[in-house]
Amino acid sequence: MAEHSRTDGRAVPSSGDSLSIMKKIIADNPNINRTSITPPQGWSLPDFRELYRYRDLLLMLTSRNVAVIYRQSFFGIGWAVIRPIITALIFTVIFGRFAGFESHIQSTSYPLFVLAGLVIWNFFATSLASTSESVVAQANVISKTYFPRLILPLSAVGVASIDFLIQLALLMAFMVLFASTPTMAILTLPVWFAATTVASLAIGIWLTALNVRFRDVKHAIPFLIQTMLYLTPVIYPVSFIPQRWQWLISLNPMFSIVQGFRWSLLGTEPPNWSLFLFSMLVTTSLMFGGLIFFRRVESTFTDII
Amino acid sequence: MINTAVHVENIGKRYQLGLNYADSLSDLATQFGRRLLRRNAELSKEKRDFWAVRDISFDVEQGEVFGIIGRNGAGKSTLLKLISRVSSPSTGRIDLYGRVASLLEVGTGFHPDLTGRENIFMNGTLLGMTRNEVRDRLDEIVEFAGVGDFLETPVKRYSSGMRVRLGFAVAAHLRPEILIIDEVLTVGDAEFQAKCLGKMKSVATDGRTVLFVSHNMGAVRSLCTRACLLEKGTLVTIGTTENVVCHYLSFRGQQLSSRRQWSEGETINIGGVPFVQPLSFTAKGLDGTHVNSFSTDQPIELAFEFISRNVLVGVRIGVLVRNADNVTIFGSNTTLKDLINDSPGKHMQVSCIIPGNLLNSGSYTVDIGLDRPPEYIADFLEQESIRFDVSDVTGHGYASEPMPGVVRPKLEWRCHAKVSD
Repeated sequence: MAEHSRTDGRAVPSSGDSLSIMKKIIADNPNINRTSITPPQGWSLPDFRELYRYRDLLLMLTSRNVAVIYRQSFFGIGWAVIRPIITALIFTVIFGRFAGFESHIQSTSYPLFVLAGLVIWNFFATSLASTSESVVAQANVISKTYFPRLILPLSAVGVASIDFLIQLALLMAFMVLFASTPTMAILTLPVWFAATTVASLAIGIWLTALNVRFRDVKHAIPFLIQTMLYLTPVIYPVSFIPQRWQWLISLNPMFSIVQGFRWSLLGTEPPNWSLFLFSMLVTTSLMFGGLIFFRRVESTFTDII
Repeated sequence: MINTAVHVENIGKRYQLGLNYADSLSDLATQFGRRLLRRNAELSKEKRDFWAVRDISFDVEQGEVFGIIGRNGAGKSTLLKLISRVSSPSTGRIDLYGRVASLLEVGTGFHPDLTGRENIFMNGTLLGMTRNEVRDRLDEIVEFAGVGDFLETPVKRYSSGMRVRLGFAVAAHLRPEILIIDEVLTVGDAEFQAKCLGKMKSVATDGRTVLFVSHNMGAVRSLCTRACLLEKGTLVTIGTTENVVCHYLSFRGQQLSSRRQWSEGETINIGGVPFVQPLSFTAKGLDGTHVNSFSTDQPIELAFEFISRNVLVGVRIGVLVRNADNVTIFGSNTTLKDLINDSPGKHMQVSCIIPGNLLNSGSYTVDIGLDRPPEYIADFLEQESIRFDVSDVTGHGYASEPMPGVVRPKLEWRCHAKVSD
């Protein structure tokens, strides 16, 4: 390594201490640091400092995608609002009325119950779906320019969170309409937002990397999302799941998150905190595993795509 | 003190040929099954390695414009992809001293629905700028690209020329310490190309380093101080631009003659069916003699001889003539609608004549291709199939001096006194 240690022409005093001065110059000024490119090897976490340097790209990609999605559609941002309303309406009629789920919910009205569940669920589902397509969709860009590939799934989550904020505003409007006043639990709202981000990244990063190599992933994702919806208390209350199986279903991170999100806004039953912690522990490890896996395979993306 | 800007050491990129990346899970399962069934020896045969580049080492100093030249498929673009970190090397190491920007494509990440301004920001951040840096240089970029009036117009309404100008303008204002450029000068109009060349020169005089890949020997000559020549993925020679370009041209010349002959049994197929059995492709004088060198005033016949193996209705044969700087002079396709509608098995010759007093003195290569529209995919294309030289024997005009220029037409000059009234 030492033989390659050069700076960009800055004169280095030839005292005995020159090496440490050189090191300091390099540490102080990342711009004159050298970039070394070697064959990929080993397993490690992504370079978070590099990721931070590319933060503007993350912002630009996110705002570009938001603009592109809504600019040419007639209803524009309205789509983010129309979809959950219609879905909530259908669910209210079918599950609330016909299936009689309504009678199992005392603390709030069924339409609000379903809408709240849908808003946070949609954030998860949209993130997951767009994350897993993010790298494949930008195949032409990644084969022409370098940037940390992790930016792509991250910006997909960024786009989904803009959608989420719009839907959250919609939900709050409906809360006013239904005269539902939030409790102090509303202060925990950021927790559920952050937890959903972690959950969608935990699964999404794995799927992103796998999707590059196995296009099967694309076909499996809608199915996965639909299955998870039924394993998440969006249309039914948690009490439908027997107590002794709740730890198992908590492997689905959204199980506790939906419950917690609803509690923070509508003041329904709080989630089981130990189950939530257990679930987040599993999810966070899955996410770190995904980050390491992604780092390992990202250098092969352009060779495969 | 001279400082290294780019240090490339034993770099290599290997692709595995037999072992394709699985596109679906079922492929992977089949592959896995095959592996279980086969013995190890067979397996290793299946994994044939292909080195796109191998054992390449060189250093580029700060402030140099370094050219990388070579034929198609020599590994130039692979090397640039490795240096710009788009692809990872299989062996070796590359050290880059300073901020790098690579321009492998003009306008990467442009979105047709976004305005020029939005795309400048998008493209700039993709190339590694921060938003503040883009904002600071926005005026310069817009001025260089000459799209001022269209800044708030979606890029899809731009002409392709405007798009290219905008893309290059962003990249040219990156101010990286190391700029990597691939073939971008082949696009855009001549005036803009000249502007780009000028810009790249000024980048270099600022003490920044440029790595430049091009087919255009003229551009390489005028821009680069040093160059290297790649052939089949390895480094053949490195040195001053003039030496390397000469080496490249003579190297290319040695392998080509004005007559290309095919060995017996080779056929050109369309959709898997043999259509034509090629015999020879020759540049010859009108008297039928095949020579390597022609005089500028002499017509040149490009003749393709073959045996038809099928009914050739709708089949088209085309040629493309390029000069030593790899500038395309012209292309031409057979104008006969039904090329041959005789029964198969005949010995045929299809030829065209390049008129005399058209090509200037120099060395020319000819690509030959065969296809059947409307498919338009070249069913057969041989690049640089033959080469011939044209020399100025008669000279031009009164003083018989050689003329500059790509073509050397014999123009009719007139002179007569005007009667004034």
